[in-house]
Amino acid sequence: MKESFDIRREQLKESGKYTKLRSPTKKKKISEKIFTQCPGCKQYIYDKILKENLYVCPDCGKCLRIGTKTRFELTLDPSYELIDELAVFQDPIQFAGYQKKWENNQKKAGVDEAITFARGTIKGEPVIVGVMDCNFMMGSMGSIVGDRIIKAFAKATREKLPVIIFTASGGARMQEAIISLMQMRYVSEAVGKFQKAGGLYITVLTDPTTGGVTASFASLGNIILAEPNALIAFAGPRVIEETIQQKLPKGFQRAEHLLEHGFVDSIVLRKNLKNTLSLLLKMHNPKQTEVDLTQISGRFSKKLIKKMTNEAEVDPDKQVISFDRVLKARDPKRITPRQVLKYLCDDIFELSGDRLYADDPTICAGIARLGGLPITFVYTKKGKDLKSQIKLHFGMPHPEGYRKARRLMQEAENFGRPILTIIDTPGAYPGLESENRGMGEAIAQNLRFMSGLTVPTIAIITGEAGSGGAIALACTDKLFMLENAIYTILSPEGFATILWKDSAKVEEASEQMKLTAHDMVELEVCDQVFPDDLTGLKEALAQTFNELIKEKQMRNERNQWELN
Amino acid sequence: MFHKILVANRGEIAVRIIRTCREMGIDTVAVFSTADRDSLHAQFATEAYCIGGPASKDSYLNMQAIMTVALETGCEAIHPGYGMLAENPYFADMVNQVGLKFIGPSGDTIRALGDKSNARLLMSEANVSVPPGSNGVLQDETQALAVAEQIGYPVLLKASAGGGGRGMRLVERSEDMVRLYYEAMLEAETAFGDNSLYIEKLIENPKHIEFQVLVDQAGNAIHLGDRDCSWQRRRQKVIEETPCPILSDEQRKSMGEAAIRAIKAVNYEGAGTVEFVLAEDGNFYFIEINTRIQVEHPITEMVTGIDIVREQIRIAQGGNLLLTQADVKINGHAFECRINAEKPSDNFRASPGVIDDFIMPGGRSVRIDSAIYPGCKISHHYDSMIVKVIVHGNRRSDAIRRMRRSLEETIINGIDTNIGLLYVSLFDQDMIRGSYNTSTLESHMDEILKYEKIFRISENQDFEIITGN
Ligand SMILES: [Zn+2]
Repeated sequence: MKESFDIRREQLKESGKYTKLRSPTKKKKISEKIFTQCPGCKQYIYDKILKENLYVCPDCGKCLRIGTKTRFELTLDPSYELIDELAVFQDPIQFAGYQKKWENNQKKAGVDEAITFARGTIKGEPVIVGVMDCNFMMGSMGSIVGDRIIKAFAKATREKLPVIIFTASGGARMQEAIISLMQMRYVSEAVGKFQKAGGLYITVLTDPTTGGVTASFASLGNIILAEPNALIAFAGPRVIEETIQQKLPKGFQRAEHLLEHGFVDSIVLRKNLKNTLSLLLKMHNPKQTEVDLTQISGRFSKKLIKKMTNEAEVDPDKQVISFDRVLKARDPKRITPRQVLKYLCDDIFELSGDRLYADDPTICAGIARLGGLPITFVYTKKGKDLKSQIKLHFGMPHPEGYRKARRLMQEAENFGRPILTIIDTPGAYPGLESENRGMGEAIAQNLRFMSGLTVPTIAIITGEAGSGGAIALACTDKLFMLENAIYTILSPEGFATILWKDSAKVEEASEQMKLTAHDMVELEVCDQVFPDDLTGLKEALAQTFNELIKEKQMRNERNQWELN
Repeated sequence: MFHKILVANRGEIAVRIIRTCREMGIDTVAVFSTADRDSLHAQFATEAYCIGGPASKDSYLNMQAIMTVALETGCEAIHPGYGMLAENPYFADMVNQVGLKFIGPSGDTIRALGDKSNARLLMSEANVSVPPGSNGVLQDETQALAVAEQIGYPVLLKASAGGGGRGMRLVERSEDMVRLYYEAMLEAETAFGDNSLYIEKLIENPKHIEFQVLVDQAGNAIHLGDRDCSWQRRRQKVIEETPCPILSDEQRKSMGEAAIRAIKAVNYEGAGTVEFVLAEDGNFYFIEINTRIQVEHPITEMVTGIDIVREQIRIAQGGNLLLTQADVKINGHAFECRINAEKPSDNFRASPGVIDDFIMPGGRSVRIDSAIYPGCKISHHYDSMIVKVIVHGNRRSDAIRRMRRSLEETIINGIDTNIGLLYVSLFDQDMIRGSYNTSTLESHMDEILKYEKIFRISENQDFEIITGN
C-alpha cells in the first residue's frame, strides 16, 4: 500500500500538479522557552502545566528545584515582607574572582544571597520563613548566609515567632574556606538558643541538602520534613563512591532512605506542604489549654462498628477465667491502639525516627488533637495480616522505637503538650540486633525520662502489655485499661515454664499471675477500667487530663516558687 | 492565509481534515506513531513524521513532540481533530503561546467549559435552561442531601472536572446519598485530581439532541441545525441523524436560539457543539458544549452543504462567517452509522487485527469517512471506530433505505464488526418511528443481538425473518 502511494506521489510531482513549489516554508524559531525537561524521567513538560502542578513532574512525581520567590509564593499567604539586611559582599580570604562570581550569581538567581528570610503568615499563622536558593552559588553557606540565619532566629526569639527553613545547598562555601566552616558552629548555636527559649523550628529538606548545611541547621529542626526523593547527604555520593570504590545502591541518601533510617519526621508532597505546615504551626500555637469533651467526635469507623457487632455473644452464666481474657487480649481482631487513637483524636500527624539509627514502625508517635487540645501520642502496632505482622515483628518494638517515643515526648515536654500512650504489645523484641543496639538501656532511659515529665501523661492498655516493653511506654501519671486487657511481667506460658517447667499449665499460670485489668486495679497498678467498646473512655480521659493539667500547673508554680 | 497545517490526530478524522486542506490548497503535516507508519493519514499528507511509540501518551498525546514537528516544518496552525489533545486547554495555550494558531477556541474557553459545574453557572446566567441541581460545587454531603430533597430523586452526582461517566453516580434514594457521595468524590479525585462534585436531576429516558454551531472571531454565531444522537450504547453514540425526527418547528427554533445564547456566553471561536437533553415532557436542558469537531459532523454537512472543517480553518485564519442564520437551509435527511471493530455478541469486546477485505458502499448520496484499506492493521491502542457510513435522502425514509442498502454492500473481513447490529437497528420499530431515546438501544439489545450475526459468514440463516419487516 505504502509503495503505491509513494509511486503516486512521484507521478503527481512529476506532472507538476501535486505540489506547487511555493517558497520553502521556514522553520519557526521561538524565543520563549516553553518546555522543561524533567530531571527524573527526562520527559518534556509544558511550563504552564508544570507551574500548575507546583513544579512537580506530572509523569514521575519528581519535585523540581524551585527559586526563592516561587517557594515563598507556594508557602506563605500573599502579603509577606522580606526581612534581611542588604547583602554586602565579604571576602574573608581574598579569594580571586569571588566578587565577580558573587555579583554574577545575584543577577542569575534573582536573589542577593543563598538564603532569604521573610516574615508572613501561613493560613493565618504568623511565622518567619527562610528559603535557600540552589541557583545562587549552589546555595552554599558563607558568612552572609550564616549572619542572616543568626539574625532571623534572634528576631524570631524577640517576636516569639516560629521559624521554618527550606534547605537546598551544596554545603559550605569554598570561597570563604574556614570562615564558612565556622558558620556551621554559629548557626547551630543560634538554633540552640532559639529552641531553649521555647521557639519552634521546622526544617523542610529539599533537593539537594548536603554538606555543612546538613551538618548544621538543616538537621536541627524540632520537626524535620522532606520533599519526596530529595538528596539529603553529608558527604556527596560521588565522594563516597570514590572513597569506598563501590557503586552506591539506588535510593541511597534520598529522603525516603533517611526516613527509614530515622532522620526525617515525614515526607510531604509539595501540594500538601502548605496545609501540613499550617497544621503544625497551629498545633504549636494552641488556642485552648484544656480538653474540650464536646470536641471529641468519638466516632468509630464503619469497619470497626461492623467488627464489634459481629462479636459473638458471651454466655453470661459462664465463669470468665483469667485465661479467657488472655485470649481476648491477644485476639488479632481486637480493637487496635490506632483505632482507639482515631476514635479519640483528630488532625493526627505522625512523626518518625529516633535521629540515631532507624524508624521503628512498631511504635508510632506524633501530634494530634484531643478535644481541640494538641497532645503528643505514642501507640504500638501489631499488624492485621501475616505480611504486616512480620514487618512489625508481631508488635514487638526495637530500641529505636522507644528512642523515637522518648524523642517525641521530649518535644512534648518542651512545648507543654500532654502525652497519651496507647499500648498493645507482647513485649520488646528479643533478638540479636535489639540487644546490640541496647534494648535494656532504651527501656531504662524511658522509665527515668517519663517519670520526670512535667506534662500530664496517661497510658491506655488496650490488649497485651508485656513486661519491660510495655512499661517503657506506661510510666504515666494515670494508667487506664480495657476490660479484657492484660498486664504481665512475662507471658503466662513463660511463667508456667519457669515455675513449673510445664508450659501447658498456662491457665493456672494466668490465674496465679494476677494479670487482668481488675487485678491491676486491686494491685493499684491501674487507675480505671473501661469496657472493650470504650464506653466512658473519652469522658474519663478528658476529665483526667484536665485535672492533671490543673494539678501539674499548681505543682510547677510551687516548684518555681521554691526555686526562687 | 495558512499555507501549512499540522494535523495532530490519526485515523479517519486526520484523513478527513487532510482532504479539505488539500482542496483548499493548504499543505499538511501528519504525525504518526510507530504503529501507524502505514496508515492512510500519513500517506495522504504532504509530509509525515513519526513522533513516538504506539501508546497514545507516547505519540498523539505527546505535546512536546508534536510542537517540535510543527515548528521544524514551519506550520502555521494545528488542527487537533477530536479526542487526543482536542480538548486539552494546555495544548491550546501552548500552540497559541508560540505564535501558531490552534484551530479551535482558546485554552481559557476550553478550561471554562471543561469545568462542568462552572459551565452550568455560565449557562444559567445566559438564560439557557440547565437540569435542576446545585448552584456550583457542593460543599458537603449535607448540602447534597438538601439539594436532592429539593429537586427530587433520582439525581446524578457528577464530577465537576468530569466527563465520560467517571466520578458520576446515580442516586435513587436519600439512604444511598452519603455513601455514593464519598464514592464519587474518591473516583473524581483519582481520575481528575479534583474531587469537587455537583448534583443534577436525572432526566429519565431523554433524547440527546445537539446543535452544530460556528462562531467567527468577530463573535458572529450561527447554528447548522440539530442532530439526534440518541441511538446509544453506554453513552457511546452508535447511529446519528439530522434533523431530529420528533422536534416541532417551535422546539427546534427555541433550542437553536438557546444554543446561540449558550455559545455567545463563553467567548467562543470556531466550530462547536451545544448538547441538550430533551425530556419526555418536551422540556430541554443544556448538558455541555464540545469544543471540537464531532465524529458525527458529516450528517450536518450532508444536509447543509457546508464543509465544517473548511469553516474551522477559515475562521481560524480570521475569516468572517459568509452565511447568516437565514442562509442556513436544511435540505433532506442524513444518517451516520459508526462501524466499530468489536464483537457485539461477545460483550462488545474490541476486535483488533488485520483487515483482509474491505469493500465500501457507494452510489448516490453515500459518503464513507474512513482510514482503513485491505491489509491495514487495526491496533488495540486506538479507538475501535474504523468506518463512518453517511447517507443522505430527500426524506427520512429514503435515507433509512439508503443506509440499509449501503450496509448490505459493506464487507469488512478479517476482524469482527458491528455492521450487523447497525443494520438490524435500522429495522427497529422505534428507530423507524424516530421515537427512540438514549436508553432504547440498550433496552432492545437482547432482541437486536439475536439477529446481529446475519452478516457473519455462515451465520445468516435468520436473515429472512427480519427483512420481512
Ligand atoms: Zn518526570
